[in-house]
Amino acid sequence: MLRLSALALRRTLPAWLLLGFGALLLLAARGSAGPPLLEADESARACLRALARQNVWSVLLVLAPLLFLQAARLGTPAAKAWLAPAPARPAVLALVLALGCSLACLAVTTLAALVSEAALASTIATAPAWRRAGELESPPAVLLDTAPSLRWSAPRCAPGRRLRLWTTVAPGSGPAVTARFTARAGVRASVVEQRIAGRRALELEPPLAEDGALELELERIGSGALLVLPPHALELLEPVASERLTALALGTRAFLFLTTGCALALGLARRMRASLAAATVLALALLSWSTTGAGGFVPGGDFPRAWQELGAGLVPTPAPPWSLAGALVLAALGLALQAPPSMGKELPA
Amino acid sequence: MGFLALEVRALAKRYRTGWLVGARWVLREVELALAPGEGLGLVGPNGSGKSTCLRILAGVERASRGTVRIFGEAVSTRAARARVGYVPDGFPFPLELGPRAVLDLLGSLHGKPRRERRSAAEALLERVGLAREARTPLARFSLGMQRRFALCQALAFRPDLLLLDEPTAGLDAPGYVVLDELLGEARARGATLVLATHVVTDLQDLCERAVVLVDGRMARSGAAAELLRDRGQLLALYRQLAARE
Repeated sequence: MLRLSALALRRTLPAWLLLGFGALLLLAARGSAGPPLLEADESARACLRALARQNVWSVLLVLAPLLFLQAARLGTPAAKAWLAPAPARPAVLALVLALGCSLACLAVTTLAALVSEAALASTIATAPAWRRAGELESPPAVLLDTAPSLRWSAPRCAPGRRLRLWTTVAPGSGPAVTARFTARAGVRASVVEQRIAGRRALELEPPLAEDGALELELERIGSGALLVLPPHALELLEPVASERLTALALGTRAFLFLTTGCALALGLARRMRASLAAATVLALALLSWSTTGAGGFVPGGDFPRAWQELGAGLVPTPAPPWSLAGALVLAALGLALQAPPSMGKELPA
Repeated sequence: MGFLALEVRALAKRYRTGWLVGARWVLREVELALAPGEGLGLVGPNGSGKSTCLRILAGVERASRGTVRIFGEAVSTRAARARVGYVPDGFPFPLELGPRAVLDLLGSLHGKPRRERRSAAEALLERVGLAREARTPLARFSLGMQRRFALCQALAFRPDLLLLDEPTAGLDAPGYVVLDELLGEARARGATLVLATHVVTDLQDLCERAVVLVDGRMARSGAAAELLRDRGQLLALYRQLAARE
């Protein structure tokens, strides 16, 4: 049976596809490696590294439809005609083939993770990396000359956590404006002040509050552009051991997404053309990415959110545990579609 | 109680020709009964349903209607399929693997121990003249070699029922000799044979009975020797069909 899995692996990830994938990965890694052209602070450097990672991981998304197609080709009645007369349980055959597809997905995911981390090996910061721990309430507002500050309160944070407030500007009497973000806990306060010319985050470590809430204030200092506080602007960040956990967070999602997609394509190919099966899986994936509710359950469904977090220089949150359950359910569905005796194009008797 | 080697009752198969509507019957009301050790020839022009019938008997496709029993077991059961050897019309085997690897893989699916399947594979590959190409990917095989390998894999596990779809098509000279010898041996050890062909002389010395399929229906059934004697009738039938098309 392992030989059959190895054959499924070879067919899902043939040498030409592996070589092409490797070449694209190296090009993506090379294109985004090297020192930045301008001096940048640690936060900006984290964002640059995040963009480099996005470059490399995006190659995997290009590969996904091809993997689905290869897996679907494996499951067509024509491709399995030589196995059909063998005295093996159809469910076992389907499982063995799916295992081969899964190994192919594991191989490409591992390769992407290794290349993305190897490309950034010399630029990884020693400073702690950050991950989104949640969202805090913040009132959307526009700070004008007549109302230059905004105050609100938020629950106190655990030690070591940070607040990140997203702001942007609207045309006013200048293209930019200075913003000051303050967090107070009793008499203690943390302040950050920055010149804002576009969408930008203000980050600070709030003072430890013995009890009670944090008092937050955003101020527009001087004249210039209007300072805009968009909805859902305040994030709570927590430190993580290493930026390299990005590879684990994205890799888990990518592996679950690819494996589930391949299992579904394998199953659907029993009933339709391989290309149509792959296109159906791809369409379902795109649907899950555009449907907010399904994101957690569908494996890889929260990829856009993780991608967004990565783009903001953060380590994406780990894949939700129920996405593993979703992957198992959908993969089982794929196997169930694949396993029954060949229906081909026949009609029920 | 002795079971029939092959029992086919009211077998019918139809294919969809469109997404929602449209279907075409390719087999209708086929009835076959073969005692162990018998040889049956399925004769008919292209498109008459011979290959579809064999695919159903081999478990590759499912019938739309009717029943198929092999040595008393339903065709979909593992017990039935373990006793069947099938030479398909095309060449569906994985082209990236060598013949030894494919035989080994099929052997593992038959539940044969590694040593047994290896020795069986080597002996058969030697027999069909493919021992030197044991590791050569099947993609590099000529048509004749492919046909010899198809025969080899069907006989690898000493099947009790042999289903051969156009076994002589594309066969090279050494292949003919091997086919003749191996089928002779299989018959000698009591294997049952179903041979689909449009060349009626293929049945000589191999089949006692013959069924002529036309448009998926049994047009004639009887002794193979009679059909061989009346080849003129079959040719006239072929001519009629050719004129109709």
